[in-house]
Amino acid sequence: MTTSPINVREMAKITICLTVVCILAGLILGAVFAVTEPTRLMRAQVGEQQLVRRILELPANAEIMEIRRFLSEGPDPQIAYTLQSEVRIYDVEGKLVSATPISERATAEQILETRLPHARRGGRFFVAKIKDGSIAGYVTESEQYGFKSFIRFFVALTPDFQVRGVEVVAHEEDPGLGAEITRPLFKNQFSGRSQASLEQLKVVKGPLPKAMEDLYLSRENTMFHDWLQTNAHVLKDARQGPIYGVTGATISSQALADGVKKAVHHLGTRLTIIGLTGGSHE
Amino acid sequence: MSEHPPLPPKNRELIWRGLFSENPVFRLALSLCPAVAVTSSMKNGFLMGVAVLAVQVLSSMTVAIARNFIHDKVRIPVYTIVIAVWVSVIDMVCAAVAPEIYAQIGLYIKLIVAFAIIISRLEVFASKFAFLPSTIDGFGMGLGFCFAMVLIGAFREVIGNGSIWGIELIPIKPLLLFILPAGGFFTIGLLMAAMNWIDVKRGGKLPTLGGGHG
Repeated sequence: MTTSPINVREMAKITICLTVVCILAGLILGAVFAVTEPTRLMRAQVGEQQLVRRILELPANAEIMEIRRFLSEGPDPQIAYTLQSEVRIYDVEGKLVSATPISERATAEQILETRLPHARRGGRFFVAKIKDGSIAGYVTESEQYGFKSFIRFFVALTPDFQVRGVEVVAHEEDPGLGAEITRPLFKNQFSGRSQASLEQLKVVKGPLPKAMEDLYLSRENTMFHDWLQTNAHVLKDARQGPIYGVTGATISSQALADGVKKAVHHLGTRLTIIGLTGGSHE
Repeated sequence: MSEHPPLPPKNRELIWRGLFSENPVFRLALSLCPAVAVTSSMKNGFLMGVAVLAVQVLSSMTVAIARNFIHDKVRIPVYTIVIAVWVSVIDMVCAAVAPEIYAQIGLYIKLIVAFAIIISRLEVFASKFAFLPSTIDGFGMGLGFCFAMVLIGAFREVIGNGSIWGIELIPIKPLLLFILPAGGFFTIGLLMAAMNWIDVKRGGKLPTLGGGHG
């Protein structure tokens, strides 16, 4: 230890040392990010497509369209949808304002940039079509505030708006409590419910009756229609009944139920606006 | 720093120290918080252990190479930056290359930045010795940490959940307490005592100085 309190050379050395280290660290992190980020995004996208395929039980030749929705701010808000071949902009009443075809020279992002600058994302959903062009199902992505943070989830629907399944894709709920909403015994309680019965949906405090455990566990490894058929008599009551919340996680359970209800409702409205309705809305 | 740096211990000795005689968890009692938090199952403990091993080796290597350029007064901040860089690199690479594994351990990887064991090895060893012994010391310590995590995880999973590596052994949960945080402390205490017992049996001396750290 030197006795002199201030030593300019020493201070300069320290500053330079730390600065150099920080710059190096920044460069390394930047370089690694630049290399890994595209792969990560691509993997995430592939993973999402696989998830959609799996929860809709799609055949290999089915085609998935991803439709994104954007909202503009301001006194006269407009809503944009990016479809496969065009970007459509609607007013709040749902009247078509403009439709711009997507081409190689004008990507969806570029069209949005000029037509609806500073628009923020307002949800997205997937429409699956099988080879003959008929709709095989829908998957909508949504978020709902849970106990700790947002719960992001997918809801899969049949063409006539019956819930096939719910998958939580991201959450920060507590393990053993709120995180249990991602388990078959909770999330599969949504399966088989119609849009009309969702509107009346109530969440009661658990536990789930023992007799119903097998019903929801068996959903995991059975095809949806087989599951509906084999359990037709049990499901008849169950799908009109309440959702049994996870013990100790009433808020997370209620949040996911509310989120699913809202997501299905919004999807119905949005599909009607863009004219892609597959079936009845009961 | 002295004129003549001390001679580094032999390689085998270094590994043995990390694994047993100076085991980070059981002997140095360092990084007990994560050891308790993550080891509710053997698999979690193992994955965390591997991540720590990687960060420890890479950080020790970096500091051993750069030890002559790091100003003595800012060495701790520099070590922290080195660890943070490696943790972030592993975090990003893991997210891109192995998303399935990342989904399970992503949460824990970021925690490694604050692990006392890593920074203590950099301060105690890598900043004083050459590249090769530092690398081996980092490897030994990382291995020792991984070994401890696997042992604690296995113990807690068997007793608390009746399973091992997710495979059910007995259809009941013997003592659920053991997979809860309190059980983590019990486990570490019991295993530490077992380690001491083995050591005494082998003719060693009980450590007289104790201490714990996050």
